[in-house]
Amino acid sequence: MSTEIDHLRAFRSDDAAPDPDARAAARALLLERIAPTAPLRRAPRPRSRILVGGLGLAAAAAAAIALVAGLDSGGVQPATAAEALREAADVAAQGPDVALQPGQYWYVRSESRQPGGDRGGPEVREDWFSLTGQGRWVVRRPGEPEEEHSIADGALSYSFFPQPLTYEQVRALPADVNGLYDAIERAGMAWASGNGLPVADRTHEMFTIVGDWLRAAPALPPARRAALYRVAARLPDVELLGKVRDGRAREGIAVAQTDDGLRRELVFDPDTAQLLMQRTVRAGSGELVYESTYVESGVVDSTTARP
Amino acid sequence: MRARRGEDPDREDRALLRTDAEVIAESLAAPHAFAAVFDRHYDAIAGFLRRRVEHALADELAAETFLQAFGARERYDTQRADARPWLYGIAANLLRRHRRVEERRLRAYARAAARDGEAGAFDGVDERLDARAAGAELATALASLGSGERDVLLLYAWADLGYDEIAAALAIPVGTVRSRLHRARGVVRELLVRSGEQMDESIAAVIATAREESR
Repeated sequence: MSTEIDHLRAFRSDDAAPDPDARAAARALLLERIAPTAPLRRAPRPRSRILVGGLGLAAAAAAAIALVAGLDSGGVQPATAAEALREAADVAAQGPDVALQPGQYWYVRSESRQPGGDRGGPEVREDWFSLTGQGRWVVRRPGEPEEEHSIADGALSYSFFPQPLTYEQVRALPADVNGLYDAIERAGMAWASGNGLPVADRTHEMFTIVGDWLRAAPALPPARRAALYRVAARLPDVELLGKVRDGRAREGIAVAQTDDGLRRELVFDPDTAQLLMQRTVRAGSGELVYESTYVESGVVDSTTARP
Repeated sequence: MRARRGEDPDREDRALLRTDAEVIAESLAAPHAFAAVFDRHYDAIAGFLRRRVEHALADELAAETFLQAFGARERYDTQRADARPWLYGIAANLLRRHRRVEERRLRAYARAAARDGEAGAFDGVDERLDARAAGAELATALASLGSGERDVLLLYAWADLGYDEIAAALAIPVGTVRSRLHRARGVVRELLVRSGEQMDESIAAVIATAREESR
């Protein structure tokens, strides 16, 4: 007669076969950690081509992000950034697939702040993107007339950095973490070499790209959204800052990578895996360099409609 | 460039004879030596994780296990020749954050296995029926255990670790390992016995139906 342990030994035993590709990827990752190439210094670059280009200066409000102590934990706190990001991946994988149909637009409203300006309030920006990257882009700065641009040539298509990608291209990115890691690594190296920067420090480029791509994550299929968080969980030197409030006082989890004296933070909602805010501060002083809070997004039927 | 280890078969043999503790001690001065720990144990760790959560997540956690192990190699207790308990402990710790995913998967598996079991009942009474029914009950039992009990039970049944090794892996006293294993085995046994009784009933029903139809 077999015991419960014998039954258990047979249970799911087919699942135990390792995947050779995953094994090779894991080994390469370990070797990369074992023998790190010496990081090369390079000039800091703007957070993102689209968000920085042509922005006016908004008054730096008191730091809108603040470490919030003693918020209701709702469970065990993640101990590392990788853990927090993998948990977000689990959540993202369960999320809905909000696919755009032809004729529909993906709408994003963001509010950004940077120091040095004398106007009050954040700069508000609205983007409408179509499947092909066409759409409209409206910017409102405090005390200035509204600025409007049409997005017709694909040059500003979606907010994907470093190359403009159409929404369709983005939805077709690899859904497996190894494939997406490679794609993001290639994108980072292509950007760096195209701008005459050393490419050795590619994991910092990759962290920036993951953040930029996560901005549009709600419009991605769930598997790719999850894979983006899993890529982030793989990147070295990402620290967990813990629970914070974003520019709209929403609670989120912050992770960050520091490079060249700048700490780049991503704040996401652990319950929805949505990116709430991207922020850059000076590593020592904590002085704000730039922040953008993603206030609202969704699918709409025209470039004048809002969700 | 030829692989260093391939050049000298004796060297490779010697490497194989060394304990994990010796390899890890060497890796303090020569970090590259740590790759041998990966080569020896990756398949077991990845396999253990793949049996517990979806494969994509399992592969991520397996990779992370070795990255964390490498980072923590200075703290390895070199009195322990075999690194498996240490590695399983790191893996179990990483898994704990995905407890809900694991339990959801087990319950989904239980539902699917139960459906297959019912559909298969008319194929006849065979081993497959037995295995499927047991699968549904095992999945239900595992999902109902506390994560601490599930860790102990699966390190015992799947990783073949002894009580002392499980205690070292999970950093809990051996007495706790014993009591958790005792309770976990009890839950699994209980559900298997209950499923056996249900199966007897369903077999009886199949036979009764067959008799009705043959009249």
